[in-house]
Amino acid sequence: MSGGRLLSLYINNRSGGLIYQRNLSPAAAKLRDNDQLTVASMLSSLALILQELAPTSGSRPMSSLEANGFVLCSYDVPTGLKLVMLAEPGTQGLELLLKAIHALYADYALKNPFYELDMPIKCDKFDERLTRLLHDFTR
Amino acid sequence: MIYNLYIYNKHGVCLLYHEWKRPNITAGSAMADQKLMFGFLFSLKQVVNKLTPDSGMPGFHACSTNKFKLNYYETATGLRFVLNTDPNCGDMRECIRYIYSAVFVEYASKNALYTAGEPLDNEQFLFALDKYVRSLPAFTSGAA
Repeated sequence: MSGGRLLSLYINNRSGGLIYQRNLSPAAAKLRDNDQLTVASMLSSLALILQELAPTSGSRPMSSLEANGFVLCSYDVPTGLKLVMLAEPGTQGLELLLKAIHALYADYALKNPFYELDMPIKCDKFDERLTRLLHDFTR
Repeated sequence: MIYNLYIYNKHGVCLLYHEWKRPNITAGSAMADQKLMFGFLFSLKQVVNKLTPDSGMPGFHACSTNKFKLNYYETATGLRFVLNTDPNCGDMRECIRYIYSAVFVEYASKNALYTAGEPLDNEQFLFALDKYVRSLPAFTSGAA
């Protein structure tokens, strides 16, 4: 299904704050915690600026970015949640993967009574299911 | 479908803005739109540099929304070219490189009357640019 390695996953809340980050490969850029927060919130705002720059009407925020060292795929949920996956160039099927991760978020973070909305996700069950999903994807 | 083209020099001065089709008129002035685009490119470049894996080359060449695709090319001298197309246009890198090497270099850089950093209003340049862009298969594809 894939074709390239996944690099890292970012999940932002509706105000652009980072609530989950995981590096999925030793090749991924190593950012300090502070840089992760800055980069994540900049991605949220740049995605909205690109929507503003659209020459056509009805555009949604940035959904993909092709860089020389990676591809980025972003899935914006209507509730404002933003899931961003970085992978090696040429990786296919990232949007479907992000939708599956959103389903895990709904099932294992939102339904967890100890999880507070828009706060960092610290749910063991979510981590566990995510690991399994990513393992299946890269196989 | 090809929407518009922005050319900036390394200081962020917009040398040329040309539009072929733009169904969505910007709310602000044309100048505000050009500045917003440069600010976007500047910040996106910083983010991309941070996110690039240690082994990879920094830099990016395209980003897209559901409605359009922004194709980007930066020369070694710091000139920045932005070509907006519809999202199904495929890889436009060769086309932008051609606009740089066969249109910009020929009609602006080699023109003794053109001062670097001034807005481009040379008729020959605009004619050559328009002719090339209209000849691209992407220009008519996906027209609504």
